[in-house]
Amino acid sequence: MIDDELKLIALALIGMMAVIAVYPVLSANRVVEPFTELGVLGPNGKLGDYPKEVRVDEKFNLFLYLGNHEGRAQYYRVLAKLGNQASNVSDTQPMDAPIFASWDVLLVNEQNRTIPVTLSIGEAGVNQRLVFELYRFNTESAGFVYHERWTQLWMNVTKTT
Amino acid sequence: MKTSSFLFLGLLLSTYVSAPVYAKSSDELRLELGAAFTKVAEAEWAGGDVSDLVQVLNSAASLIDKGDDASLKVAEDMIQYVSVSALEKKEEGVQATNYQNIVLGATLVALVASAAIVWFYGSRVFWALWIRTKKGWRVEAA
Repeated sequence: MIDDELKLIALALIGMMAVIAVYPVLSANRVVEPFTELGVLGPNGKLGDYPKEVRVDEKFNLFLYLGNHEGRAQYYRVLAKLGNQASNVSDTQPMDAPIFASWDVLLVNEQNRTIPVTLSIGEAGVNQRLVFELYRFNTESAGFVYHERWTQLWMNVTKTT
Repeated sequence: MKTSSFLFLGLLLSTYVSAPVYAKSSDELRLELGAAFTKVAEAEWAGGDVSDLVQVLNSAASLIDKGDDASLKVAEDMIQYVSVSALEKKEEGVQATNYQNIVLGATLVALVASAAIVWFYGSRVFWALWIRTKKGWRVEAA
């Protein structure tokens, strides 16, 4: 009776050692919920204080924030597009508008980067939408694919007097 | 070294220095950047540490954005360097993964062998040790 108990205790200890040895190998590079962060920060590098009224061709500063939590290195491209209230953009469909700026950023896993950007808008309009869309390089198709993430700023662009 | 060799080297050097910097276009380099990143991704998948290579590609992307000939030429060199280095990183990754698998396999074999030994000889060994450590003990009635 006591022999069986001793055997079971010893085998349980060996089983625990096996789990300790195998678990790190099996769980390595496994990401439960991969995701990417995309954000726009104001001229001071903080959330808020975004420019809302600018003149045509007036330069304004922003910061783009990107964070990679996908579990692997990523090659991102952020496209800036200018639309209006009638423009559509969604998590599945990018906005059908001309690109007026782009930035390429490569990040290893768990790395983030804040990129200073200077922009100006060449046409006047009320409630203009400055949309930033995130694309990710797909190694199989060797091209960029919309990563279903976007952010926007609403702006009034007035003519220079 | 003969005088003719010096002349040849001097001529070669002057040709190199005076030659205009030829650089590929931004679009061509962006395609090459994508191809280099694919190799880096393969190396990472194989278990290689590609952090340095990603930073080099990041710098190359910034230089491509600048767009002047000198920057494009440096970016091109960086991309070529990464393309070559990614293959080495991939090889290192494969070797590291193989080594890790061998160590893991050996550990598991050792644990299974330990379990078998415990199962078949555990009791005998335990009691032999017990008797050896307790043989000097004297039992007295309370």
